[in-house]
Amino acid sequence: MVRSLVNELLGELHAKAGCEKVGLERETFSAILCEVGTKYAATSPSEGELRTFFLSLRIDELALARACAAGHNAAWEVFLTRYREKLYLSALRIAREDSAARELADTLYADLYGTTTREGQRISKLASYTGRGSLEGWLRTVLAQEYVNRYRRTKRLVSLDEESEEGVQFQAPDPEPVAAVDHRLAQATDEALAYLSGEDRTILSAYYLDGRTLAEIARMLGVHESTISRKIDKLAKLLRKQILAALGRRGMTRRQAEEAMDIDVRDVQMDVRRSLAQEARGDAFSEKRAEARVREGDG
Amino acid sequence: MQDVPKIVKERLRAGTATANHPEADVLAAFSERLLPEVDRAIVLEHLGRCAQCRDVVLLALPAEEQVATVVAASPSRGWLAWPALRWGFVAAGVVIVASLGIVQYRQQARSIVAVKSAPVAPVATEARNEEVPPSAATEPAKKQESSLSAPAAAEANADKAQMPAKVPHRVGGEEGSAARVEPSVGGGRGAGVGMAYGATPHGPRMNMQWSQNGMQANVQNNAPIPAAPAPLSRMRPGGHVAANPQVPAASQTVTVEVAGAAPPVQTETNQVAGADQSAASAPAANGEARVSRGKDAETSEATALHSTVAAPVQAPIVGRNVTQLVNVAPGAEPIWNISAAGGLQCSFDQGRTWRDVDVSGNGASIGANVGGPIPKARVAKAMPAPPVVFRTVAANGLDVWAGGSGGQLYHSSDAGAHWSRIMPSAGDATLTGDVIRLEFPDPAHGAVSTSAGEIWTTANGGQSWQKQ
Repeated sequence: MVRSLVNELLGELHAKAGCEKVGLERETFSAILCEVGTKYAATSPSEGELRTFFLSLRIDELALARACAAGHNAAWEVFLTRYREKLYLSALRIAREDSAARELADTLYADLYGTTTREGQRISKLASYTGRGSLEGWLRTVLAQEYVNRYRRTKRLVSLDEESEEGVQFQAPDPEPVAAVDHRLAQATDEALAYLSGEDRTILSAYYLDGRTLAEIARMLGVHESTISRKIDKLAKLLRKQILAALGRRGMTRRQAEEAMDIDVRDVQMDVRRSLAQEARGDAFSEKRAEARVREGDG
Repeated sequence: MQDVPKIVKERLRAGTATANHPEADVLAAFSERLLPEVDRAIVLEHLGRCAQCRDVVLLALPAEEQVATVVAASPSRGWLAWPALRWGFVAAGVVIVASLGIVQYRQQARSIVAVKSAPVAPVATEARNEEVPPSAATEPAKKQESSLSAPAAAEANADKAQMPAKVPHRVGGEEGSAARVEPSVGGGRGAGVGMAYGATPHGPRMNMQWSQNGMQANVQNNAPIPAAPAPLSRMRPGGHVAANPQVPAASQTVTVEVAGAAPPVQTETNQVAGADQSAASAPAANGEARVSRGKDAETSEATALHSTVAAPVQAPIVGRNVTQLVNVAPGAEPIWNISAAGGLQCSFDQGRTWRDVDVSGNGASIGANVGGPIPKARVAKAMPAPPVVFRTVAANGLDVWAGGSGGQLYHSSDAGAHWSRIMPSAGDATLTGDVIRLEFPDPAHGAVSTSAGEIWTTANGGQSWQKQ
């Protein structure tokens, strides 16, 4: 189905793509479309969906990217003219530091150009662009992936003085999460979370785990900030209600369920630690030694 | 906002995914809202469990889009940010404009009726006050009438002192006439006739005159639009008068008189947020638009060009649809970008901040015919251009071209302060398809490629086009 549809749409898509300007031959372009279509066809779309998919592709950018991946100089000239500055600006926005941004952009350029080879073939990251989104958006995403992979896992050597001047609050890391006091609570919570949609879970995770702001989450999902605020509020109430109901089904009374839900397991852990520390201080070693001598004297 | 129980956070953290990350192009398409619902749901399902991919999506978002209202912060801006108040002001503006129109109409009607019914009035007033001389009997009525219409009269006087109402201008070009006409060209007036300094019917006094080699650009306030004002400043290369960078208090459209032009003015109807504008005009087969650009003015007239000027695109009065006027500092050239949503953006600080650019606030549609006989002037209804999704932008210093969906092509020669819509045509052929590529190595020479496989070239900055 992919091949026949590509043959049918090749003329139209080839004209749209401007392949001649970037040095991409018709047959090569046809092969690229088949590759992209086959990848999408793995989701078993209908013919109409596949046709819509092909027509919605950023076909000119796909041709440019693949021509660059193949090493066509004309394509590279166009690519650099259009995206060089944007790539650097995106890297600067991601890395927030000039030197890191330049390194990030330069690294990506090397990957895009294809400095590595496999079996004599140059491997360019641009060969993985399929035209589903804009090339610029794809470049930003690849930059972000590179940044997340490299810089967030590497300790940044930042002066503590700098950070304190910026208002960074240094605090002890959170202790390891311990198992819930009552296993029924974890089960009830998992059950409630399983009913959440992917979007709801994304919102909650981004807000409570990643510490993202409402504005950032709204931008990520393409909605208004107030929508996110209302959704979080609604989800918090819903989860609480569902967990209470699930705990009730597991034999807890409402009061027990509320107490179980409101107890912070880390507070319990600290209480135990505190009580252990107090017991230890009460029987100091010197006192115990003195008592032992007294007993020996009596004996 | 109610917090979730801590156990929820613990269990959210426990259910993370570390494999099967979506590919970069899928994440990019997700960010740009280009994925079908099914695929989007799959990506969201993964994002709900993968902090790494959430970070990637957030980092990969384009720079935050900002409305290009370059203006000194006014205390009411935050207040006007409420959508309800914004629309309320828009509605109030429309009501005021309509009321003024009705008052003016009534005044004109009454002036005619008063002339006809003058003998009757004294009889009526004499019954009330016999001491009142007949001639004075009409005075109360006139006073009342005049008091009612005083604002309208003042505005009418102000109008007279100004350039004519924004007359949708249609110019039938003849060979040798330029294709480029600045927006909202008034008809029948020569150079040097401009708006009186200051008084405008609908807004604060404006001190804004812009001259471009004999053309007077007169700024005329529209009905008060509660958008933050934008400074207007432009330095046209070779222009006579530097821009006056005074900050207007409201958005405005720029109407420009063409120097020496005797164009036919067509009857057209503009729909502007429900208020009709119409101007009587005399159709003519051979109109001539002279776009004077210094010494090139006469030269441009002599070139073989046709031009048809569609009615200027009147943006409907909506809260945020304001004329985006960007303060261009001399020598500072912005950089341009197309947002993920297809919006045109510019940055004056090397990309640190970006501003949306609205090309429809003061654009005029221009068609350029190449060769062929002098076209008949066409009367067209002035319809606002459909929203354009930009695909490409090309800039050469202050000269900027932007194109996108529906074959819409816009040009600015002052770094985006003003835009003109360009409709390349050759004979009966017009540009079709989306504009997908622009190549302008210099302000004069360029090529436009469309999704329909067409390539249009120009060698004179868009005044004439050839289809390849």
